[in-house]
Amino acid sequence: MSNENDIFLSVRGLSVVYTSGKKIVHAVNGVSFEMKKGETLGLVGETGAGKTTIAKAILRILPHPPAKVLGGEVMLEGKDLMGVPEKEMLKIRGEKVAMIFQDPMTALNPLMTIGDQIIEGLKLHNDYGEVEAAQKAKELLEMVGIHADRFKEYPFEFSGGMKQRVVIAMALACEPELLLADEPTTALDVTIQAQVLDLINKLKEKYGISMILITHNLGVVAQTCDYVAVIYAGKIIEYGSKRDIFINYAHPYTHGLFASLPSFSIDALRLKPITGSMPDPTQLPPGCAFHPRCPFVIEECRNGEISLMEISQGHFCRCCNIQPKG
Amino acid sequence: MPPLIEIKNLSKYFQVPAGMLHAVENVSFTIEKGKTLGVVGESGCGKSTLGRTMIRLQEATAGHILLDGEDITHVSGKKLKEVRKKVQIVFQDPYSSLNPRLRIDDTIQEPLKNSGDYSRSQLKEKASSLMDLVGIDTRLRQSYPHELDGGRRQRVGIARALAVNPEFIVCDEPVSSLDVSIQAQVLNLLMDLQDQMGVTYMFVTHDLSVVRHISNNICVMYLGEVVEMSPSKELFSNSLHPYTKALLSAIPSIDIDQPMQPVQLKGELTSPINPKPGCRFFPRCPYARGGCSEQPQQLEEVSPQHYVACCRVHEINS
Amino acid sequence: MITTQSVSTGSKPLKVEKTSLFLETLQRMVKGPGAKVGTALFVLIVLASICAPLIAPYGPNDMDLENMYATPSAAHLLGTDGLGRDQLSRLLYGSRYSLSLGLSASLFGALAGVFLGSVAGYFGGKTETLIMRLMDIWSSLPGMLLCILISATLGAGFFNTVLALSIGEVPVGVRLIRGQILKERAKEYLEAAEAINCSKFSIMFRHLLPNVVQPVLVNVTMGIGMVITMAAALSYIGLGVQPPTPEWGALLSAGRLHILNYPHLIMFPGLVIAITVLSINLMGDGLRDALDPKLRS
Repeated sequence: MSNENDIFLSVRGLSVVYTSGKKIVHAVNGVSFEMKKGETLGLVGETGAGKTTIAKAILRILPHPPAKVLGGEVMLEGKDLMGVPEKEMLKIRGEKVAMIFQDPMTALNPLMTIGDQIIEGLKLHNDYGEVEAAQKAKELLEMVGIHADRFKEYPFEFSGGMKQRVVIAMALACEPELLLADEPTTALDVTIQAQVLDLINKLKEKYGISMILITHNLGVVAQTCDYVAVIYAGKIIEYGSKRDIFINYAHPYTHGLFASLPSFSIDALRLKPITGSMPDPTQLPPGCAFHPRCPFVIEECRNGEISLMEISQGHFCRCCNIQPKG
Repeated sequence: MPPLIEIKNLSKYFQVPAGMLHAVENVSFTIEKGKTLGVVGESGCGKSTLGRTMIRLQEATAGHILLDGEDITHVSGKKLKEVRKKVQIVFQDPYSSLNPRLRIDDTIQEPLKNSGDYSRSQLKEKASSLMDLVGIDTRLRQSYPHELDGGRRQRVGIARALAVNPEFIVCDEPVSSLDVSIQAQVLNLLMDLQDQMGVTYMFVTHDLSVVRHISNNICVMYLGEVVEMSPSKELFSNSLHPYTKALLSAIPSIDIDQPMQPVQLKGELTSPINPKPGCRFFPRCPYARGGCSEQPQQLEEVSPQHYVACCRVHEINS
Repeated sequence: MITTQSVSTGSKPLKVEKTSLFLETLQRMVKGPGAKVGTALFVLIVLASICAPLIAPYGPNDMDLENMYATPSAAHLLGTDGLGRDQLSRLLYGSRYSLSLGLSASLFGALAGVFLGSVAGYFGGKTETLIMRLMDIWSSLPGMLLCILISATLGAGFFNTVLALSIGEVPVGVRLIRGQILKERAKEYLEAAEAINCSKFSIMFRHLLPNVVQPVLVNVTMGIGMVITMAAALSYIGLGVQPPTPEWGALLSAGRLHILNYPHLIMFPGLVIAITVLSINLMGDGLRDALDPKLRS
């Protein structure tokens, strides 16, 4: 997709399944994308699309069983994370790649002070002494907008938004190069969300962190991401720059997503939802996974492998009957 | 014609170990028949408690609830049973709002059974027609809740609420737990049902785009109090209360050429336990002045149908 | 006109067979190998118990005075005791007493526990406090001691023994149910039931109880094994059921005097008790896994 030398993260053909008894859930089906240093990629999709699985697969924290990585490579600065021994992976997690999870209520250990939780990560990856680590932890708290005095407090003494800031501080403690943020603001009130997004953007700029932001909220994507990948049934069905996706979207599913949003400017009598629901991941339809719900379905959609096609510079779409907007 | 719902100075307090929690404070508004009042606010604003108090799942601490002109605030026994047939609720969580051990047609038949108005054979028929109304496939009608997805479960919840033909339904964040494409389906369903059956809604949510679409009037709550109330479009084009302005500015817009400029609110939510008199938004308000924390803020009709509870509303918006 | 949102998703038609939650649970219960073995064994034991008169070679009190203290042989597969009574037959008939003691005591204790626990959990306030403090006092007395005390006070006999055995089970059941109710009380389907005019009775028994009773079911199943052992212990010390009733514990007790000379008299009753309790516990494990919602899918 771009100049070889600039690529920071390259995911190729990632496929993951979950086995449950005799059923096989096809969670991720051949996902490929690339990122340059300092970029933010938004992974957009609805529940069950496979976005979280992609992030966990990169970090290799999927539970084995029931998850199984069928194939694919994840090249981080030239090294394939899929082939790296676990010992090395332990160093990479936290130091090079960090993750922020969705629910701040359960992401923190209720029995440890937040100071201790940040120090734990610091000491694991660096040779800090107790005092040094505590000092660094306090700096991190200030950086995310929490008074250093709250260092010895427990998670229950913090609100949801503050907890998420602590989680961000923990993730950034070892100055990772890649941050995976899984719905970081979904559980937060809208005014708190604005604060946290602002914080994430500022820290990203300051430290030049690359980020993969997983969300179903298109507004959040518009405000934070440079590139967007729309995921449906474990595949990327459209990929492009923010402008490509928000102004020139092409895939019927992307059309449907934007059309079903209640708008602040248009007064429609009724919304235009996408009919039907997500397919059963244990029984994906043949051909294009979206075809049973697609208003533009044609014969070719029902069979065979539909590949990603470049429809304009850097803008890809997996559809054989593209309906360009406008 | 009197409004269907009239709320006068309604308050609901809870006794908690730390003191008295003022969940809902002195709320007043009316809802016309066949219309929708949207109630928006963030966590802790009391909107869910308000909804539950209005339909008598909670007992009001003070104030009055009038349904069709009749005071139902403290009715009990047989009268309460009759009231419950007229006011219903759709819950937020499609996972915990259905009894996991009952099949969905049993769940829908239950309110019909309780009403005593239907014979055994009529029960099945009526339940079936309700499921037709909300769009549940015939093949799924014997399912248990865990066999259905969130959107379908929510339809079951709606069918259950409609079963006894209520006049008023409180919709407590009915689409917040659903995916975007399913949200749109369920919202359309609710609006279709309103057109068809003339039911009145109070739509509680934190999602401002959804509330704008579905409501005729919107009331914004903060820490138990109503801070602003106006017709929907008016609220978005001309918000007057500092909190409403902050709230609206915080919505991440999908217009990529318009970067967000959220009003930065200081600090965090203050506690609703033993609150001080005066404006509850005072500690975080960018326009706060000394006088704001002294007297309670009164709702003032600043322009036709547009009410604001802010002692500095004129200065701020001049 | 409201259109039905039932667009085919292209995959196979959705499952339509009417499954029963009960049958589903039973199926899941016997999935693991341990549960399979345990359930099979237990079913066998119950069947043997029911068919005792048909399969026992002798009556439980038939004395063969020429063959006292006989070791296992073709005529007496598990040997005889001091009065020439066939051990196999006595064990088979004895299973009826031990199993029924175990089951009824467990059930009785569970019912009392569920009732008190439900009242405490649902009504809360002073009622709850009263019941829970009572349970605190109740459970501060050591189970076995309490059992012995009550058995000694009430005297011998089947029903008195059931009462004595069940008394220790009650506080556990109360705590379990009340704990479950506290968790479940916050769920919206209970509020919904109130909103659609369900009576308090209906809410408690039709909605709440079926959703909280599972841990109690597991507890009861595991408890049966413990109760059987306690019944055996009571008989061992001369309380509970009296001779010549061939309850397993009584057999154990009779055999202990001859442990050096005629070990078969204590070995077989001991083995039978152990196997029964083991099979029940394996079954209980299977049931607990089957009812655990997190392990469900």
